[in-house]
Amino acid sequence: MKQLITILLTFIFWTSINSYAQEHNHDNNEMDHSNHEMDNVKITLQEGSVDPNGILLTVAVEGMVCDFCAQAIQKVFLKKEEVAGITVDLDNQNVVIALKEDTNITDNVIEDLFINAGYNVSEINRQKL
Amino acid sequence: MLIKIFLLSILLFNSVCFARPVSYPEGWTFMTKNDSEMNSAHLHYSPTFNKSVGYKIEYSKSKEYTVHTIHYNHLIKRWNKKHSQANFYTKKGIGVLHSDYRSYESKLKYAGYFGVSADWETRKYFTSYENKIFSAGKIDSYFSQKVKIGIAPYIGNYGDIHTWLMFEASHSPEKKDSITYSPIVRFFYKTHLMEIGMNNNKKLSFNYIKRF
Repeated sequence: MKQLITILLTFIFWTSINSYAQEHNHDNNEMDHSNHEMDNVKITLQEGSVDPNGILLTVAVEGMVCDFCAQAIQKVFLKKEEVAGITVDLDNQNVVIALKEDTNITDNVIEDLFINAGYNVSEINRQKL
Repeated sequence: MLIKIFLLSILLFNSVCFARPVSYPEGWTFMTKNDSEMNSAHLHYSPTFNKSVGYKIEYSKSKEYTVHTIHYNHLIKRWNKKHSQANFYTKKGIGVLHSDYRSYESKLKYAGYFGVSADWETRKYFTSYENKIFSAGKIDSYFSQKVKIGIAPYIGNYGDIHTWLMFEASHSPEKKDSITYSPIVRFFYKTHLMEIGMNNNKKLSFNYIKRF
């Protein structure tokens, strides 16, 4: 019983530290991530960068519930030559993919890449930068 | 002892922190599971998102044997929803058992196992079930099953440290103490997952998973 109480106390201690660390992480992430101002729209990517003359894809994805999902999607897309950068947004269940200038990936290919990574696509939006 | 557990927890929590038997295409996964009965380590490679093959070593503390197997996981079906995911897997392994136990000392025996597992999770709730039938002839054969439920006290985004409070019930009909319960704390940070728990017999368990 004492050991259980110790684990619980450790958990509470750790959760407190974690909450504090996360607040700082968010602050740092906003500074560390690749930030781009385009037409007054601030685009922040977790990996890679935004090509100012490329295409920005916003893909609504089903089944993303954890960081392993996010990591899988990032790994799959960052292998593609056309991809300049990527962000996985678990809060909004979407993935933002920045394509390089003069490159494109069709909706069918995007959908296949997600399916082959284990996820489903419900919507794809494109924005020419 | 209490101080040791506390310090160990802090140390581990600071360096590590989910658990699917398959990875993304061409991904590698290392996992180790340790409790009062068994220690195991498993390295697997996923050629596709729904299959993985690898090497697994298990050591039984009470029966003093080591099992080396080629382990194969197959994601039979995945259900993706906007805010949830559910999976159904089969797990199987075949290999050899090497025993140091009493009259079975230095004996080698073919061994194999088969099991199914299912899970459903959102970013807030988690539930899973898994079972396993193991056979190595006279040396050891058993059936076991586990149910696990969990809740995340807060929801973090990608890259945050995620925490889960879980409860696991294990059933092993062949054992004297056939049903055990464990509160478990799970930490999940990027590609690291760690679980630490203690069952109703006050036995600690520790699991760790790393994806590459």
